[in-house]
Amino acid sequence: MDIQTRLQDLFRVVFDAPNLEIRPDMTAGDVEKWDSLTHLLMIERVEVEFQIKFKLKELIKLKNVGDLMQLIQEKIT
Amino acid sequence: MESWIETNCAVYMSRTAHNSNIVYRRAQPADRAFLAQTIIEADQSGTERSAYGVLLNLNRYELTSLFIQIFDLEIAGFEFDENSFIVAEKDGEPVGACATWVESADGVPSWNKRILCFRELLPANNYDHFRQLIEKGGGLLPPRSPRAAQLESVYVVEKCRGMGILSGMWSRQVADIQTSHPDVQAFQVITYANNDRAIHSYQKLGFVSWSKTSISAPELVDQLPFSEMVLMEKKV
Repeated sequence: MDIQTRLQDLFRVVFDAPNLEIRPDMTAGDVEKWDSLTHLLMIERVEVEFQIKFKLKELIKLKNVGDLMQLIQEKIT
Repeated sequence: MESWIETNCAVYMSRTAHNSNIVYRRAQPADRAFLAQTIIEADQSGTERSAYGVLLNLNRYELTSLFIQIFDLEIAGFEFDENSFIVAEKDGEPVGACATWVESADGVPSWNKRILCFRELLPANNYDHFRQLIEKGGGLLPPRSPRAAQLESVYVVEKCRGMGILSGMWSRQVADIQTSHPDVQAFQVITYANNDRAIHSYQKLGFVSWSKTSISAPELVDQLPFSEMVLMEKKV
Protein backbone atom coordinates (compact mmCIF):
# COMPACT_ATOMS: atom_id res chain seq x y z
CA MET A 1 0.00 0.00 0.00
CA ASP A 2 1.21 3.52 -0.76
CA ILE A 3 1.52 6.26 1.86
CA GLN A 4 -1.77 7.94 0.95
CA THR A 5 -3.79 4.72 1.27
CA ARG A 6 -2.18 3.79 4.60
CA LEU A 7 -2.69 7.31 5.89
CA GLN A 8 -6.30 7.33 4.74
CA ASP A 9 -7.02 4.09 6.61
CA LEU A 10 -5.42 5.60 9.71
CA PHE A 11 -7.36 8.87 9.39
CA ARG A 12 -10.65 6.97 9.05
CA VAL A 13 -10.03 5.27 12.39
CA VAL A 14 -8.64 8.27 14.29
CA PHE A 15 -11.26 10.73 13.08
CA ASP A 16 -14.04 8.15 13.22
CA ALA A 17 -14.98 8.83 9.58
CA PRO A 18 -15.25 5.52 7.67
CA ASN A 19 -15.76 7.21 4.29
CA LEU A 20 -13.14 9.94 4.64
CA GLU A 21 -11.16 10.53 1.44
CA ILE A 22 -7.95 12.39 2.19
CA ARG A 23 -6.52 14.97 -0.21
CA PRO A 24 -3.14 16.75 -0.16
CA ASP A 25 -4.80 20.13 0.44
CA MET A 26 -6.95 18.84 3.31
CA THR A 27 -6.49 20.68 6.67
CA ALA A 28 -7.79 20.24 10.21
CA GLY A 29 -10.61 22.65 9.36
CA ASP A 30 -11.91 20.19 6.73
CA VAL A 31 -12.41 17.24 9.10
CA GLU A 32 -15.14 17.42 11.71
CA LYS A 33 -13.38 15.57 14.53
CA TRP A 34 -9.87 16.93 13.91
CA ASP A 35 -9.13 18.71 17.20
CA SER A 36 -6.34 18.86 19.80
CA LEU A 37 -6.88 15.34 21.05
CA THR A 38 -7.32 13.62 17.68
CA HIS A 39 -4.36 15.55 16.28
CA LEU A 40 -2.12 14.11 19.00
CA LEU A 41 -3.63 10.66 18.45
CA MET A 42 -3.08 10.90 14.71
CA ILE A 43 0.60 11.80 15.12
CA GLU A 44 1.15 8.92 17.53
CA ARG A 45 -0.59 6.45 15.18
CA VAL A 46 1.41 7.70 12.18
CA GLU A 47 4.68 7.24 14.09
CA VAL A 48 3.70 3.66 14.93
CA GLU A 49 2.31 2.83 11.48
CA PHE A 50 5.37 4.09 9.59
CA GLN A 51 7.90 3.34 12.36
CA ILE A 52 9.22 6.87 12.38
CA LYS A 53 9.71 9.59 14.98
CA PHE A 54 8.77 13.18 14.28
CA LYS A 55 10.62 16.22 15.60
CA LEU A 56 8.70 19.22 16.92
CA LYS A 57 10.25 21.50 14.31
CA GLU A 58 8.92 19.17 11.59
CA LEU A 59 5.42 18.91 13.03
CA ILE A 60 4.81 22.63 13.52
CA LYS A 61 5.41 23.27 9.81
CA LEU A 62 2.70 20.87 8.62
CA LYS A 63 -0.05 22.91 6.97
CA ASN A 64 -2.05 20.10 5.39
CA VAL A 65 -2.21 16.39 4.64
CA GLY A 66 0.08 16.83 1.63
CA ASP A 67 2.83 18.22 3.88
CA LEU A 68 2.37 15.23 6.20
CA MET A 69 2.59 12.72 3.34
CA GLN A 70 5.76 14.40 2.06
CA LEU A 71 7.33 14.36 5.53
CA ILE A 72 6.50 10.67 5.95
CA GLN A 73 8.04 9.97 2.53
CA GLU A 74 11.23 11.78 3.56
CA LYS A 75 11.42 9.93 6.89
CA ILE A 76 10.98 6.42 5.50
CA THR A 77 13.43 6.77 2.61
CA MET B 1 -12.20 71.98 51.40
CA GLU B 2 -11.17 71.07 47.83
CA SER B 3 -13.68 71.71 45.08
CA TRP B 4 -14.86 68.97 42.72
CA ILE B 5 -12.76 70.49 39.92
CA GLU B 6 -9.62 70.68 42.07
CA THR B 7 -10.03 67.08 43.17
CA ASN B 8 -10.57 65.78 39.66
CA CYS B 9 -7.79 67.91 38.23
CA ALA B 10 -5.47 66.37 40.82
CA VAL B 11 -6.55 62.88 39.79
CA TYR B 12 -6.11 63.77 36.11
CA MET B 13 -2.65 65.27 36.72
CA SER B 14 -1.67 62.21 38.73
CA ARG B 15 -2.80 59.84 35.97
CA THR B 16 -1.09 61.94 33.31
CA ALA B 17 2.12 61.88 35.30
CA HIS B 18 1.88 58.11 35.67
CA ASN B 19 1.11 57.61 31.96
CA SER B 20 3.96 59.82 30.83
CA ASN B 21 6.40 57.46 32.54
CA ILE B 22 5.14 54.37 30.75
CA VAL B 23 6.99 53.02 27.74
CA TYR B 24 5.52 50.42 25.40
CA ARG B 25 7.99 48.18 23.58
CA ARG B 26 8.27 44.74 21.99
CA ALA B 27 9.32 42.00 24.43
CA GLN B 28 12.96 40.95 24.65
CA PRO B 29 14.63 37.74 25.91
CA ALA B 30 15.28 39.44 29.26
CA ASP B 31 11.48 39.71 29.75
CA ARG B 32 10.86 35.96 29.62
CA ALA B 33 10.27 35.49 33.37
CA PHE B 34 7.83 38.42 33.36
CA LEU B 35 6.07 37.04 30.26
CA ALA B 36 5.68 33.67 32.01
CA GLN B 37 4.22 35.54 35.01
CA THR B 38 1.92 37.39 32.59
CA ILE B 39 0.58 34.13 31.12
CA ILE B 40 0.03 32.63 34.57
CA GLU B 41 -1.65 35.73 36.05
CA ALA B 42 -3.89 36.21 32.99
CA ASP B 43 -4.82 32.54 33.16
CA GLN B 44 -5.79 32.81 36.84
CA SER B 45 -7.67 36.07 36.22
CA GLY B 46 -7.52 37.10 39.86
CA THR B 47 -8.62 33.70 41.17
CA GLU B 48 -6.59 31.06 43.00
CA ARG B 49 -7.25 28.57 40.21
CA SER B 50 -4.97 28.04 37.24
CA ALA B 51 -6.33 26.37 34.11
CA TYR B 52 -2.81 25.56 32.92
CA GLY B 53 -1.94 24.26 36.38
CA VAL B 54 -4.93 21.92 36.36
CA LEU B 55 -4.63 20.79 32.74
CA LEU B 56 -0.88 20.18 32.90
CA ASN B 57 -0.67 19.20 36.59
CA LEU B 58 2.11 21.71 37.20
CA ASN B 59 2.65 24.20 40.02
CA ARG B 60 3.46 27.86 39.43
CA TYR B 61 7.22 27.31 39.46
CA GLU B 62 6.94 24.43 36.98
CA LEU B 63 4.62 26.41 34.71
CA THR B 64 7.10 29.31 34.67
CA SER B 65 9.86 26.93 33.68
CA LEU B 66 7.68 25.34 30.97
CA PHE B 67 6.72 28.68 29.41
CA ILE B 68 10.34 29.85 29.37
CA GLN B 69 11.32 26.60 27.65
CA ILE B 70 8.61 27.21 25.05
CA PHE B 71 9.90 30.76 24.46
CA ASP B 72 13.33 29.21 23.87
CA LEU B 73 11.88 27.17 20.97
CA GLU B 74 11.20 30.45 19.11
CA ILE B 75 8.02 29.24 17.42
CA ALA B 76 6.12 32.10 15.80
CA GLY B 77 2.41 32.76 15.57
CA PHE B 78 0.88 31.62 18.84
CA GLU B 79 0.39 32.66 22.44
CA PHE B 80 3.78 31.41 23.66
CA ASP B 81 5.85 33.35 21.14
CA GLU B 82 7.97 35.96 22.91
CA ASN B 83 7.81 38.15 19.78
CA SER B 84 4.03 38.36 20.01
CA PHE B 85 4.26 40.32 23.29
CA ILE B 86 4.20 44.04 23.99
CA VAL B 87 5.63 45.03 27.36
CA ALA B 88 4.61 48.14 29.30
CA GLU B 89 7.53 49.47 31.30
CA LYS B 90 7.42 51.98 34.14
CA ASP B 91 10.60 53.35 35.70
CA GLY B 92 12.57 50.62 33.95
CA GLU B 93 10.42 47.78 35.31
CA PRO B 94 7.88 45.71 33.32
CA VAL B 95 4.41 46.41 34.68
CA GLY B 96 2.19 44.90 31.99
CA ALA B 97 2.21 42.76 28.88
CA CYS B 98 -0.08 41.20 26.32
CA ALA B 99 0.34 39.00 23.26
CA THR B 100 -1.02 39.43 19.75
CA TRP B 101 -0.54 37.28 16.68
CA VAL B 102 -2.41 36.61 13.44
CA GLU B 103 -4.14 33.25 13.60
CA SER B 104 -2.89 30.66 11.10
CA ALA B 105 -0.86 33.30 9.23
CA ASP B 106 1.60 30.55 8.29
CA GLY B 107 -1.18 27.99 7.66
CA VAL B 108 -0.75 26.28 11.04
CA PRO B 109 -3.38 26.93 13.76
CA SER B 110 -2.17 28.15 17.14
CA TRP B 111 -3.83 25.24 18.99
CA ASN B 112 -1.69 22.88 16.95
CA LYS B 113 1.54 24.63 18.01
CA ARG B 114 0.43 24.79 21.64
CA ILE B 115 -0.32 21.09 22.02
CA LEU B 116 2.81 20.09 20.11
CA CYS B 117 4.91 22.14 22.53
CA PHE B 118 3.22 20.39 25.46
CA ARG B 119 3.88 17.02 23.78
CA GLU B 120 7.52 17.92 23.34
CA LEU B 121 8.27 19.41 26.75
CA LEU B 122 5.96 17.89 29.35
CA PRO B 123 7.19 15.00 31.47
CA ALA B 124 5.44 11.76 30.44
CA ASN B 125 3.10 11.70 33.47
CA ASN B 126 2.00 15.28 32.94
CA TYR B 127 1.48 14.70 29.23
CA ASP B 128 -0.71 11.67 29.96
CA HIS B 129 -2.65 13.74 32.51
CA PHE B 130 -3.14 16.50 29.91
CA ARG B 131 -4.28 13.97 27.30
CA GLN B 132 -6.84 12.47 29.69
CA LEU B 133 -8.27 15.85 30.65
CA ILE B 134 -8.69 17.14 27.11
CA GLU B 135 -10.33 13.83 26.28
CA LYS B 136 -12.83 14.48 29.07
CA GLY B 137 -13.22 18.20 28.48
CA GLY B 138 -13.33 18.28 24.71
CA GLY B 139 -12.58 21.59 23.03
CA LEU B 140 -12.21 24.10 25.84
CA LEU B 141 -11.49 27.06 23.60
CA PRO B 142 -13.90 28.63 21.11
CA PRO B 143 -12.36 28.28 17.63
CA ARG B 144 -10.27 31.26 16.53
CA SER B 145 -10.84 32.55 13.00
CA PRO B 146 -7.95 32.13 10.54
CA ARG B 147 -6.42 35.50 9.56
CA ALA B 148 -7.95 37.26 12.59
CA ALA B 149 -5.50 38.89 14.97
CA GLN B 150 -5.64 37.39 18.46
CA LEU B 151 -5.24 39.24 21.77
CA GLU B 152 -4.12 36.97 24.61
CA SER B 153 -2.54 36.92 28.08
CA VAL B 154 -3.40 40.47 29.05
CA TYR B 155 -1.92 41.44 32.42
CA VAL B 156 -1.11 44.61 34.32
CA VAL B 157 0.48 44.45 37.77
CA GLU B 158 -2.04 45.39 40.45
CA LYS B 159 -0.36 48.62 41.59
CA CYS B 160 -0.46 50.01 38.04
CA ARG B 161 -4.08 49.25 37.18
CA GLY B 162 -6.32 52.20 36.29
CA MET B 163 -3.50 54.02 34.48
CA GLY B 164 -4.67 53.21 30.96
CA ILE B 165 -1.92 50.64 30.40
CA LEU B 166 -4.23 48.11 28.71
CA SER B 167 -5.34 50.82 26.30
CA GLY B 168 -1.72 51.78 25.64
CA MET B 169 -0.64 48.19 24.98
CA TRP B 170 -3.68 47.62 22.78
CA SER B 171 -2.97 50.73 20.67
CA ARG B 172 0.61 49.63 20.15
CA GLN B 173 -0.42 46.06 19.23
CA VAL B 174 -3.04 47.30 16.75
CA ALA B 175 -0.54 49.63 15.10
CA ASP B 176 2.09 46.88 14.84
CA ILE B 177 -0.37 44.30 13.46
CA GLN B 178 -1.78 46.73 10.90
CA THR B 179 1.74 47.45 9.71
CA SER B 180 2.84 43.80 9.51
CA HIS B 181 -0.54 42.35 8.35
CA PRO B 182 -2.55 45.09 6.59
CA ASP B 183 -5.11 42.50 5.43
CA VAL B 184 -6.28 41.73 9.01
CA GLN B 185 -9.96 42.63 9.33
CA ALA B 186 -10.76 41.54 12.89
CA PHE B 187 -9.25 41.17 16.34
CA GLN B 188 -10.41 38.42 18.66
CA VAL B 189 -9.89 37.76 22.35
CA ILE B 190 -10.91 34.72 24.39
CA THR B 191 -11.71 35.19 28.06
CA TYR B 192 -13.63 33.48 30.83
CA ALA B 193 -17.36 34.14 30.64
CA ASN B 194 -17.38 34.83 34.41
CA ASN B 195 -14.57 37.40 34.23
CA ASP B 196 -16.74 40.52 34.23
CA ARG B 197 -13.82 42.89 34.69
CA ALA B 198 -11.99 41.56 31.61
CA ILE B 199 -15.15 41.49 29.51
CA HIS B 200 -15.90 45.10 30.49
CA SER B 201 -12.34 46.14 29.60
CA TYR B 202 -12.57 44.49 26.18
CA GLN B 203 -16.00 46.03 25.57
CA LYS B 204 -14.43 49.43 26.23
CA LEU B 205 -11.89 48.65 23.50
CA GLY B 206 -14.76 47.88 21.11
CA PHE B 207 -14.98 44.08 21.37
CA VAL B 208 -18.39 42.36 21.31
CA SER B 209 -19.25 38.79 22.35
CA TRP B 210 -19.08 36.41 19.41
CA SER B 211 -19.28 32.79 20.57
CA LYS B 212 -19.15 30.71 23.74
CA THR B 213 -18.01 27.22 24.74
CA SER B 214 -18.80 25.34 27.93
CA ILE B 215 -16.74 22.68 29.67
CA SER B 216 -18.37 19.35 28.97
CA ALA B 217 -16.78 17.49 31.91
CA PRO B 218 -18.49 18.32 35.26
CA GLU B 219 -15.44 17.20 37.26
CA LEU B 220 -13.34 19.87 35.54
CA VAL B 221 -15.73 22.69 36.44
CA ASP B 222 -14.76 22.41 40.11
CA GLN B 223 -11.07 22.77 39.30
CA LEU B 224 -10.84 25.36 36.55
CA PRO B 225 -11.26 29.13 37.00
CA PHE B 226 -14.17 29.08 34.53
CA SER B 227 -17.03 26.96 33.26
CA GLU B 228 -17.57 28.85 30.02
CA MET B 229 -15.27 30.73 27.69
CA VAL B 230 -16.31 33.58 25.46
CA LEU B 231 -14.70 34.71 22.24
CA MET B 232 -15.08 38.45 21.64
CA GLU B 233 -14.41 40.17 18.35
CA LYS B 234 -13.70 43.67 17.08
CA LYS B 235 -13.77 44.50 13.37
CA VAL B 236 -11.12 46.86 12.09
